[in-house]
Amino acid sequence: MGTLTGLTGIWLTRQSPARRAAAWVLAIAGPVVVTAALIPFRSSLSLGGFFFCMLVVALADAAVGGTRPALTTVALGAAAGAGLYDRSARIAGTDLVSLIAFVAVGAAVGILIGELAQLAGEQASSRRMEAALRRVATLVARAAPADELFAAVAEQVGRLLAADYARVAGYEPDDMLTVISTWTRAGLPFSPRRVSVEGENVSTFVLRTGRPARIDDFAGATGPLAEEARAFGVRCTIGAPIIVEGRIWGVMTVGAIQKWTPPPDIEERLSSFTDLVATAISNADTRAAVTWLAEEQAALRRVATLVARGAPPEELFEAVTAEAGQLLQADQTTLCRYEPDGTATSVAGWRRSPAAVRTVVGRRLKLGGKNLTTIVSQTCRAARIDSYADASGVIGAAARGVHFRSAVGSPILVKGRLWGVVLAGSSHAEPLGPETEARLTSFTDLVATAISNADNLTELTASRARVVATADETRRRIERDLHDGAQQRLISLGLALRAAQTEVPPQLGRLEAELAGVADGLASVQDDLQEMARGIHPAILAQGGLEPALKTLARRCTIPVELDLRAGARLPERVEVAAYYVVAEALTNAAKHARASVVRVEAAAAGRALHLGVRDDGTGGADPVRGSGLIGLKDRVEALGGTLTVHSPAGAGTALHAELPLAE
Amino acid sequence: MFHNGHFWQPDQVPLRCLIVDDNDAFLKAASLLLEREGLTVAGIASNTAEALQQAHVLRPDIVLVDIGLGDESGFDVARRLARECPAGRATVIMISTRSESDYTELIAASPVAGFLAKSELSAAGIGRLLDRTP
Repeated sequence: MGTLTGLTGIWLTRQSPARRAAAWVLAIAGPVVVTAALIPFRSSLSLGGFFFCMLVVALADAAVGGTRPALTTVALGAAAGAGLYDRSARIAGTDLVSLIAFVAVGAAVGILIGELAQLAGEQASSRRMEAALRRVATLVARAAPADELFAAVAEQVGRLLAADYARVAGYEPDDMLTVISTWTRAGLPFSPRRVSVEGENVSTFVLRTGRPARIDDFAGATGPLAEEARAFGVRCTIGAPIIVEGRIWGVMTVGAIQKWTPPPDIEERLSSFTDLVATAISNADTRAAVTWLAEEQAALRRVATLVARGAPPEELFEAVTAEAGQLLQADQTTLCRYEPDGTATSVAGWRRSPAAVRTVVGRRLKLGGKNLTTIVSQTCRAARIDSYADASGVIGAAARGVHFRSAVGSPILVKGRLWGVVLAGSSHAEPLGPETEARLTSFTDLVATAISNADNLTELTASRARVVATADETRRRIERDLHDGAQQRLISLGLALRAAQTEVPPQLGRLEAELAGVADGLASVQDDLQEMARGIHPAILAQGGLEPALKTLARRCTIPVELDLRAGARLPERVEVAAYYVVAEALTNAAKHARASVVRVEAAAAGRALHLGVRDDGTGGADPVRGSGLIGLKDRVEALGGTLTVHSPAGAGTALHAELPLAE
Repeated sequence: MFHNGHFWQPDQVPLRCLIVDDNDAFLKAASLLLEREGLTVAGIASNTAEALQQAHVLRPDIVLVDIGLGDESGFDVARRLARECPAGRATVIMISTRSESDYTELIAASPVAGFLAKSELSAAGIGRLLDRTP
């Protein structure tokens, strides 16, 4: 029974006008024909038999056309029967019963079959609808690519509703419509295209009202879409909005060229499909958003890693411009530093296409005019320019020169002070999305942190260098004061004493001896002072530089020293002083603590740094942490930006290596 | 012949020397001592310009030059003396508050007869260096 109604239903739902016409023809002509055919058999055929034949016709009618034609047939049949058989005989009781029975049964059966047919038709129709929806839902669930999904939806809707075409389109900004997919019964090929949404037509109505719309005749419609419809001979068109997260995303339209009766619940049916499409789009959007979020986090993490490991600024700036450009889908990104004289210097840049013009690193341009670099410098906030058509100033002209159509910029604020700006520019007609400012700011925050760290480090290093330099300057002064003051006076005193000695007559031998004793005492004091002065500051560096000074140290050292000096000509004073102290301390340690038999000193100036090495064959075990002399050396060397390393395994001698950068 | 720190033989003309040093007290003390020991201090100078001028005018036999001549370099003075006053070249001796071992290489590389520590300045010391000079 189910199969029967199913099969019947498939046929029955084709409510074509032809079939309806056939039903009425049958409804009216059927009884007439049957009556005419049965007139000759009137005498042999009872009224019941006549009515039975009419019943068959009525049933057929019910099957073909539904309840109304069947009831018409029953009425006509009853009238025909009554009229036909009335002439021949009185209306007998049985005849009346037959009439009443025929009418009752005919009506009942007609209604029943009509309803069944309708029910079957509806069931079949809804089953087909379900099947169509299921096919589409499957595509949505497995996240089919958009073009496949929309093509399938258009086809399913078109076939289901027996239309001549079905179309899925999306609304774009600036009142444009992009037709994404079209299905036509005739199988015409199709390609996506953009059309302006204007005038009075279905798509315009849907966009304006956000509700389904219908046009039965395009004669009075206007706009490019209406003209197109008229050109194709489209008659009836119905459109339903695709609403994604409260926003009118697009429209689905179905229509016919021939005469077409859309089912009464077509808006509901279309809504079922548009809901599915909206879900698919929403899912895709969510997926895209999640993917994008993950990409953003990864990009920011890469940049943060560079910041954390103190990568050199050039490397960091290059990385930021590249990551931000990729992520924000810009065509070009630039990082600029603001200078105190009202200019901005390009520090790093990235471009998406190798064919595009490369950023000129180090180029300084004057601020002023309407351009993003200037705007950000004035407002100290993120900003955007959606059209460079009217940009002005040197920078604006340069931006147009590299085909910027729109751009977004975010300031780099280091400790509250405006340091620079990162700009992301696009050459496309469509400006960068509204979230670009916030996303760019994540990057500029990282850059600001890195610059702040680098600044702190620079300040710290400079501060340490200043401390060392101040201490050295003090020592130099003390030594000079000592030399020019006490030492010179002692010498003069000694000379005066010797001069006095020459005047002593030979017979005053004891006086002479006492004077000689004082002279010796004086000489001894001078020696002590000399030793002290040497420990305070190596004034001999000033005269000949590092090499003679190191040779002197080697001479004074109580254990043999082998020298390999390739330090060349004079080096910066702070380097010579540091090197002298390093070697002096190392030699002292070797002689006093390490009980070494020989020490080897190497000094070589190679390119950017002075390399010092002091190796002894003593007992080793020197601990930079416990020996205050070595810590002081480390501080001094590191304050210059250099490195000091000590390898002193117990029993294997001590090797000290220092590297002192020659540049500032 | 050496007696009581006096260094000359009665029939010899005393050697004439020029002392170059930026410290006045030393110049006075050194002059006094050397005169008493038998040298003639022909002149004194406190900087390079004065030293060259005096050397040119006085034509001393010996020039004592302080290595640390204020901001100037005594070795520079020695080199310029050798270059600019070649005729009757004087013997140049470097002196310093500091010790010889601090300046060994520099002394050897300069056109000087040798070095005397200021605290050990004496006519005898000068004589020893002169004897060594060819």
